[in-house]
Amino acid sequence: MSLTRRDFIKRSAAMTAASYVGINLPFTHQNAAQAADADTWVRGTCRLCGVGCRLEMGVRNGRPVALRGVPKARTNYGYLCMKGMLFYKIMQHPERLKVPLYRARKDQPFREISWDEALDIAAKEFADAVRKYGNDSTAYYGSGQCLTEETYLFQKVMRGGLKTNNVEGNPRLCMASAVGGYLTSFGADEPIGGYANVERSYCMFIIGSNMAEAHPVFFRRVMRQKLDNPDKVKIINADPRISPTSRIADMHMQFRPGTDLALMNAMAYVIIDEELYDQKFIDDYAVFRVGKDAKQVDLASFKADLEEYSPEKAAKICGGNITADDIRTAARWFATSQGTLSMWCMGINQRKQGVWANNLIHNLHILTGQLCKPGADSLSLTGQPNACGGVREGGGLCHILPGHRVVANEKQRNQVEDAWGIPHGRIPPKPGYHTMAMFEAVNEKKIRAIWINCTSPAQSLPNVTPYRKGMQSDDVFIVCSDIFPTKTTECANLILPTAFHFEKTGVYGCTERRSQITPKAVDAPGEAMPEVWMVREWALRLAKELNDPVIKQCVAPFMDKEPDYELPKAIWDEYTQKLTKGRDNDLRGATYEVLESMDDGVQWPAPTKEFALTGGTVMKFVRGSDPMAETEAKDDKPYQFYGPAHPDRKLWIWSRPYVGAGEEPDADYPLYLSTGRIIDHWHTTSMTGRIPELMRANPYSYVEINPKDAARMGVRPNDMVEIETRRGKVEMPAKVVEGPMEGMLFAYWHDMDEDRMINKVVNDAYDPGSKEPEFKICACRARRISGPKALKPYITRLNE
Amino acid sequence: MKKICAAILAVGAVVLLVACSSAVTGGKKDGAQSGPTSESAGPILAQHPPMSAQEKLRPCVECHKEVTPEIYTQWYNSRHGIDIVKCYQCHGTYEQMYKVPPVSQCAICHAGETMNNPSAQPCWDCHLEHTFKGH
Repeated sequence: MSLTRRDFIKRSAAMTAASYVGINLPFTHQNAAQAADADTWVRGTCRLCGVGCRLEMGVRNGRPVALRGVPKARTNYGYLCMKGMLFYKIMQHPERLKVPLYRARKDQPFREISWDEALDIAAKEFADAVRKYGNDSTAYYGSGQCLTEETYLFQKVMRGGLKTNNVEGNPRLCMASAVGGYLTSFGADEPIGGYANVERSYCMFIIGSNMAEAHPVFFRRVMRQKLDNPDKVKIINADPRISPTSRIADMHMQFRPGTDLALMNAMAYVIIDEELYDQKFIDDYAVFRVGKDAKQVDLASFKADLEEYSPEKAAKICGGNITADDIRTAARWFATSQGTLSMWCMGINQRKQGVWANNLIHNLHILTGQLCKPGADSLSLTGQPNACGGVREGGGLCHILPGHRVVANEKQRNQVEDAWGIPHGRIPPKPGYHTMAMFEAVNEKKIRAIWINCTSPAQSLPNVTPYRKGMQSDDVFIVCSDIFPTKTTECANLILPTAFHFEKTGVYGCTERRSQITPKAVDAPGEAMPEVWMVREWALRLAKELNDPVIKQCVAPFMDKEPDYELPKAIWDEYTQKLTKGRDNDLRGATYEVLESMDDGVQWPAPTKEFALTGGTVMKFVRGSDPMAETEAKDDKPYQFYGPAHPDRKLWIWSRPYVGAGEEPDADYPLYLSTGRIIDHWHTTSMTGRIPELMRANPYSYVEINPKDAARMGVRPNDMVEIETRRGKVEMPAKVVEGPMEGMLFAYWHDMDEDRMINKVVNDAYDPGSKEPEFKICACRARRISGPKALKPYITRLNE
Repeated sequence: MKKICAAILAVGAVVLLVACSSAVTGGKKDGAQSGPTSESAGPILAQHPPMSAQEKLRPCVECHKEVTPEIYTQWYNSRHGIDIVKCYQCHGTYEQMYKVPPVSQCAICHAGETMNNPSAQPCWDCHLEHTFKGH
């Protein structure tokens, strides 16, 4: 790089002047990686999405000052997205909840009270509800962002103590269909492989996911694999919307929302028609099934069911840009690649037919034998950082128990009761209310006391208006534990300030079955406390109120343990050593000691410490990779599908028909409405909305409108648009972009502002199997209201 | 007082000089903004034109698509662009914005590479800012 003399003089002068003022810092290797002069760096996991990036928090004088990636971590290899880079900024935010707050009635302002008072109130109200209305009038609604120790202890006290299975969490809203799909297709929850498959994959099928924005650091690996092997690697992106993920796609399949079932059936049709299936794999490992009673059928029957999904017929159903040729090409790439990896997220899960949509993806892999070998996997992307570890594995849904057990199985209930040292029969035999039923039960005054932890259903539920109204009633006592005021704390009687990530110790289990630990690095502000401490203290008071020593027994192993480290450690030990022992998510090797020593963490099953230290099971069910494939082996085949839900130890290929969305467009509401996240904001914005960089990048929710629709509606960029469905109206500024297909709007869902809160208008119909709502598709109409307005970003504050 | 005036003048001089050289080289075929080389390999604070609070509520690219179109295009077609590494991640936001970020910003994601940099130069001297070609 040669400089002209003129440039050289200019630059030298600039250099000199700058040095004079001292704003120029010398560059050396030594201070290169030392952002912000931290005293110490503490290794943990990112607080945000389900990728599970490993990072280090820089601490100076007891305050968090920076975040940086861990280069050797096998999840993110050192990379971070903007949220992972910046979330330390909210920890010392002035609006952090610092003291318990209480009001007897919800029209009163909150007043500060002591922890003793707060816990007494929480115990008395729940005890009163039990006495007056029965055990099932109490409930816990938690989160895929809680630490595993928190979810585990809460559900232990609810089930074993308060004798109710009204334990739910927001993963019901995002991952329940993926769980249902894995259980019915593979017989076991969670992916067979993990991220390592990306670098060995030659065909990636990304459907119902904008992973470039929702899982950016994992997307980096997909992008890299494609850019490094541009001709060898094929990427298929199937989405009614063109998104940033589509940039690396070789083929973008744009189909009418909901018709992906027909599309995938058509790909299966081609695979069978052109004999691209792996006969040996099917013979060795699979059966065909159909219907509610899972009747076993054969390939001929399965093929006959696909007749109505020939590529030509499916293309007609799908509309969009789908052609029969593209379907054939996609199917051929899928079937014949050296290793095919599918990845999907809410576009597939948040559907009335979410379980079926999951099954159809798994079908393609089972038919073609694209499983269990390097680069081949059916990888559901998990949205939240601990939906897998805490909720799915730790027993945080109304119908399951820790260690991948089910409430309905008496033997398994008894195993859990024995592990807890409580009498058989304490855990009720029937599942509790699933999420939508739970909040309906609040409306119907069947639930009188509910503890909501680390989530904001008053903004995140579909068709949220009636549910929020129910929560605002004085007939239900609501405890809300959180770090900031939210739309949900607005409905609470009691607000408990919680310690944030890195202010307490605990484990998150991410998308790829990997459990990773985050230790306490700094003190929580004010009197904020870890949830595990709250639950223990609450349980002790409940035991007194209800004169029930078994409630005390539930927390007996955790007495006198200090809350920052020893308490969560004791909980983790009980969960892993007693509840996961011998289960398919065996985590006995993943002790705190082991986890603390690792750059990343442990993929289960990992029954021993030695094995855990290597990183655990890379590929489930594969002998040589999965120790349980050895111990559970029934023959000498290389793959052993020992999942607890399939006694026949087979993978099930399901015949599923195409069924449309719960609410399709019609004459009154002629457009599709879909919603989703954008990269800068996390969910309800309670965290990211308090970080200036992120708020400025996306200060409000926008609605994306296809240019053809915009032209018809007379809408220009930033015009205000009213979106109306049968459930209500919202207004948002418009982005006119070749994003959503023609006839479809796509609105961002993060905004707390009443006028822009899109969940007010989306549909709460849900999958009959998984009970997961259909956020992704409903019918709307839209009109231009005005030109651009100077909008204000909105974050809720206390006592507003 | 004298020292403060001198400081302000010096800052002004830096800004002008850097701004001028940008204007001169803006039309180059390779589109490279002239920036510091190893001779002045330190961070430089930005003097962003003053914006109202409302104006700040916009993503950088909304204006910079037009104000610095070559940089926008370089970024958009780079791995940072495809993987949506946004301007503020390197350059900060208004309260502390860098025209030339410190290398410690790169190290947040690229700690390994930064520590093992074989040369004494900042990353972008070889990897060319905004395009950021790899090895």
